Amino acid sequence: MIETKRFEPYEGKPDKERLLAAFRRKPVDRVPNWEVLIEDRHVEKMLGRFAGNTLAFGGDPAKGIVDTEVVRPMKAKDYVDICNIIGQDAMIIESIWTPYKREDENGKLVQVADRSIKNIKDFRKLKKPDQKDIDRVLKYIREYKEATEGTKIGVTVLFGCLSQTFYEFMVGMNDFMMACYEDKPFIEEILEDSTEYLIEFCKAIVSESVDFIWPADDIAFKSGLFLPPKFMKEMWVPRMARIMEPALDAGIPVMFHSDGKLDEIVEDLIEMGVNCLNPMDPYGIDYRDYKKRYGNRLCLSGNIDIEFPLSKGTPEDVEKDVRQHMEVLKPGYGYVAGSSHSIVNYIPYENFVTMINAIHKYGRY
Amino acid sequence: MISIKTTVIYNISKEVLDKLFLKERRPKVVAIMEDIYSATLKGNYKEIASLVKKALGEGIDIKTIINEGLSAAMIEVGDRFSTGELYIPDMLLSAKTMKEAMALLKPLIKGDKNIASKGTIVIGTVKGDVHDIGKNLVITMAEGRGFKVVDLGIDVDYSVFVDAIKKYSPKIVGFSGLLTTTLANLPEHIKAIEDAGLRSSVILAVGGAPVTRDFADRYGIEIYAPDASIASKEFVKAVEK
Repeated sequence: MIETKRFEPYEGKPDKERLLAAFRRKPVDRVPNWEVLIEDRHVEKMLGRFAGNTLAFGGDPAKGIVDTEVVRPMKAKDYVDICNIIGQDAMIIESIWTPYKREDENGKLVQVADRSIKNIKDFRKLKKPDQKDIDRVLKYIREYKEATEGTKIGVTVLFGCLSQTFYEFMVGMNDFMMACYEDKPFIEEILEDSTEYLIEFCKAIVSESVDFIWPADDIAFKSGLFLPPKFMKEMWVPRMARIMEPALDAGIPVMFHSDGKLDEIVEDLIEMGVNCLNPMDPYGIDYRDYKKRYGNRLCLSGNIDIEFPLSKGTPEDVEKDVRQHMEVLKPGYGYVAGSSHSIVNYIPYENFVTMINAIHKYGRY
Repeated sequence: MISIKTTVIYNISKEVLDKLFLKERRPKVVAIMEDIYSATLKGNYKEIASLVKKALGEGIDIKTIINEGLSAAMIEVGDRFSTGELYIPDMLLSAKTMKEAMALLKPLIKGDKNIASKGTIVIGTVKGDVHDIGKNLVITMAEGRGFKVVDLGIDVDYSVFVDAIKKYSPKIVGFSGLLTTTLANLPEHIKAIEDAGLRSSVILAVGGAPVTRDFADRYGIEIYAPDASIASKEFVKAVEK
């Protein structure tokens, strides 16, 4: 009989060393479980109180740019409780989108999200991200660090959307993609400018002793990269490598996030120093194939499909899927279990509970 | 790609003879059509206008220019995009090339029943979803196949789809969504169309990363496509039924 109502007791308290060891493909007591986002209805069921979602309180930055004066990361105490309930080894502070701003009609500085930046001239009129934007995140890191004192729960920051901030919010997908071929100076300038900020950002969070860094940039969909590998190797790879460098120099592991099929760029990510690849989008990646090809060089994370079994399957389907993932990905260490995207409200709570319980059951070494 | 045939005909009008003469495809005609195909395939939008003018000057009819040059090339673009040989900018440049050509040809097409649009498609990303990569690619491919596409944008409310159906009388209504969480709004979209009494007048289509054939069947959606190229082929099949 599968337990679907409550999270069962698990072995091994939340411990960032477990996660870091998994990233480095070293022995662990159990496969870590990891979710970037647990949405508010699940959180409320878990805590018995409203607490927002695990990336934010007061808004939803996972769905778009939010007003950072209104929206903040989940309150530290709530997140510590979440980690203890499900055995997650670290808490995440969201700083996904690079904050370029302009004044609105009231003179207030707001992040650009209207896809109106079409050329260098438009870009140079914007207010660039600065130390204030970094300080805002550092404040939350300190808050989280204080709240986790006496525990072994770690802290990381989700950041670094080098291209996605532009194509999703500032330039627009079609115009950004066309400009990659037709207006390279524009693309070079915006990527370079963003890179310089993100390097400073990374240096700052490393100085604040985050336990690992989590750069995220959606660069592919289910059939492959958005842009040709040649372009990516020239324009994106060196910049993302520079962004990660402060962490790698400090010996801090790197988990990298992108949706989609990443076959054409995985070797570059490994060469850059990425330790763990997340979330292994099941619509582009076969986890068995990736384990064979990269399992001895890369920690693999995610892949339990939020459509099926998590949203549309039964608890039996969920448990079976977790077990199948474990059979392939657990041997040899280097596996961080979790969903292929996030625990959205649409996923039945019973399936979320089943997934976590199954990860703990089948993930013991 | 372009075949050359010879036929012996008796008692034929000058008009038909002219068309037959073109059907024999003089080498110059073949060369121009190949250039149009190639320019579209490679996304050479700066050259296409002069090539189209050249084609018209050689007496090549508009339907041939579109079907055997522009659209045929877009079909290959879509196929090569599906297999990962071409990337998003390649597809966009080819689409831009076709658009440039169509801008020249459209004024000449008006009223020509032989070159009717395949119909109108209304498309948008479902309520709550802000992703539009897939939707924009579908639009590119559908226009390449001769459809008129009305883009409703992202995070489209139920009533906006309904109003668009009333305004544009589309043959096909397409829903795009990236997340299971937002595709969960699809039943409400369909219900809104049903409540407005419009369901039987449209063919529904759905696409997006988590979408499957089962998902489409579950909600009675006629067209499901895993990528933009297949979507445009399915649209053509659906309207030609």
